[in-house]
Amino acid sequence: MSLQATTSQTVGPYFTIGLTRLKKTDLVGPGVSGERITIAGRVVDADGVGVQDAML
Amino acid sequence: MQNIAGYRRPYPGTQPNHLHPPYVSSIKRAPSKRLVYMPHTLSEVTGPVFGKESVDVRAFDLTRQHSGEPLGERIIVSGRVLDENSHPVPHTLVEIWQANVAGRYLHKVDQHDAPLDPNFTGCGHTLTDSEGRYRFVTIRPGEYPWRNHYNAWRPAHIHFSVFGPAFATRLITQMFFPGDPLLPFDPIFNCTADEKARNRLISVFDWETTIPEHALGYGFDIILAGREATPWEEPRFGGGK
Repeated sequence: MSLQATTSQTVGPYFTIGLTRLKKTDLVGPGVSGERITIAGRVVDADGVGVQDAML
Repeated sequence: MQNIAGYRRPYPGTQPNHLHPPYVSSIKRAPSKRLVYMPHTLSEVTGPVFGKESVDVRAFDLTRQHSGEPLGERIIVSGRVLDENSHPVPHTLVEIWQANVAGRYLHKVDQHDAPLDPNFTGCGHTLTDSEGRYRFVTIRPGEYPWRNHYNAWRPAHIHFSVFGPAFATRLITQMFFPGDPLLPFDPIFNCTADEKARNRLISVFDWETTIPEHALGYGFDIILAGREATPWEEPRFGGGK
């Protein structure tokens, strides 16, 4: 008899409170060679409204 | 095409329907077309590994992150993480986040008229042990209003994220409390058709982990998708609606 996977639930709007410790925007340390690039953009929802705290 | 044993897809009705109109924000989020079955590839059957170096060993205790103790009823939340084949999931990252005792999150978007607690951040994490066990010390979160419908209140809940061995096993869910009178009215809890599956999100009061004169214990076991024995030929289920 197999168990059934636990039901998922929405992550909700406040998930970032647990993620801020993982924030890292510079992936290129001192010893990394190659051309450095910057990636930037905008995250919007289905209404075209900017999302304030999306995690990428 | 690689021949990879994927992870099992959910049993019908045991996961939230994508479209559940009483949960108003599901209307915009739900796909309008039939889902396309995609076999699992290396992208799904592998995943990040969070070892001891990515974990703060004190982060299991949400009552000791500040100079003072948070207000509220201290509780112990513990359980096991297993897969659908009843195998424990060892050394996997379990994260929780929650509102404080007054029903307020420490987040700029939460403007509920209830006080923040300077001694409570509301997030913690830990790794399961070699037998898949985890344990948190926290406070019982408060219920809070939301704007889904008139007089809408969320039942008390703790958010959980459990990684498991692969991206396909990652689970994000919410743990509820036994006997909560708000559960029958909560569209998030009720968007899963299968009653038994829904009720498995309700923790159980646990004498074994209750600490005398200190904290009540609640048990919450978590089941992650199990590995298929053989690669799939055909889609077994179409997923939620």
